[in-house]
Amino acid sequence: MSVEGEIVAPLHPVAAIEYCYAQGWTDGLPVVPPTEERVAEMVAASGRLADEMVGIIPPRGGVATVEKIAINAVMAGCLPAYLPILLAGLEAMLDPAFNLHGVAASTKGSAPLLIVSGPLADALGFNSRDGVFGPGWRANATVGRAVRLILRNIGGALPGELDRGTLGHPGRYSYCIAENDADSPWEPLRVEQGYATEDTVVVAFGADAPHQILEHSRGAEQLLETMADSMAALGNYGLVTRPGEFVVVLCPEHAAIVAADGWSRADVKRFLHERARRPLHLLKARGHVEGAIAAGDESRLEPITTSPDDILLLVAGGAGRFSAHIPRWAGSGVHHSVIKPVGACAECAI
Amino acid sequence: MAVTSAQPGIRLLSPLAAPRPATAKAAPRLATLDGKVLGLLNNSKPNADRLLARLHARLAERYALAGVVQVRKDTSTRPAPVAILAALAGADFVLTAVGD
Repeated sequence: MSVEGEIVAPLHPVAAIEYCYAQGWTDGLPVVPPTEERVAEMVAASGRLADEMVGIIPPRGGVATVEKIAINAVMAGCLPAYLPILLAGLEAMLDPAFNLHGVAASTKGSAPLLIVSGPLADALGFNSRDGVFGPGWRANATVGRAVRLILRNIGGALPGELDRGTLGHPGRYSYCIAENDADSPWEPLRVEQGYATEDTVVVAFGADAPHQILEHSRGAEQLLETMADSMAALGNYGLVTRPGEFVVVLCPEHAAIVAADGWSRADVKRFLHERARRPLHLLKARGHVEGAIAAGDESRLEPITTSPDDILLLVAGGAGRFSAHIPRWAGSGVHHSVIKPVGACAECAI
Repeated sequence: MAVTSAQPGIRLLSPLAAPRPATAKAAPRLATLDGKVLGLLNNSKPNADRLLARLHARLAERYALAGVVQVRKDTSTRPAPVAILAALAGADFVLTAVGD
């Protein structure tokens, strides 16, 4: 394994891409060969020194310098302007509360989801509208992909080796969305979390794949009942072992229906916290919650979240009536989402 | 697959990173388990308790253990916290188990 210095690869572009495959550097898709010039441009966009350490990437504990991150970002196809977003996301993922080791290595096969909220999302071309979880936008696709390449190449998270994900999910290729401020009836997620409207933040969340709901009803309560029912399905990560967070993405049409009935953000979160529950005896019978079944467990409803604040609610997507919830990798005390402002590092001048 | 110096090539930078060097070393092997204190670290995965209990029973049949220290982590996904390591400091050897 060559980790330092320059490597001389074939000059022909296709041969250079094949060279990267042969080194085991890719996620299965072709990468942009990381030439010195492209990497230098990426490092310059960070406003930081190439050898500055950003953190230790689990599971193998590789040392992530700004340059190593830039190399992987080049390979993922990022533009240099995306680097501050990627760095904010990485800093969030490296917060001890996030428990990146578990997210990267656990059999649950989850992936870090990055949610970009703020004016830089539009300015840099992050998609928050039609097909928000899908392909077609360079910013979403390549920033999310850079996270995977960093986990693989710096962190050594190779499937079947240190990454023990049983199934994994497609978000492990790339999992980055933006919040759709323009079509939201409520204040954005970042404002709810104490940031200014003009700030841009990145939220990192250890995430299962999005679970979509189809709902054509016209009332807030019925719509959110459907969401709560889907959130509390047996076997859903969120109901096993301990409660914790959930991401809920309402499409603009659903959000408009809910808001038209007079529901605030806080109302939605409180309702989902109260309704996304299952009887305790069902969970104990399966070992999803430890302990013997006791009298009264049939009528005791086990919550999927510890409080309404555990629900990260945002509006995203385009026309249509499909929303989604995203179960967390692990519950309270084991994993927590982390939010980082872009450009908050005073030394970095970004 | 790197090209030879006779061929034209492009210079790439490696995306791989070396892990930090390990600072921990393996403890010396015990000559016998007779008279030793067994530590059992349950990582809180389902059935870890059963697996450790069986191992404890088997060891107790074969060796005159001086005692046992049993502790349980709150989650399997984080390293043992200081309080748990302190409790295990009284053990001469420690078994941990995943019972999934």
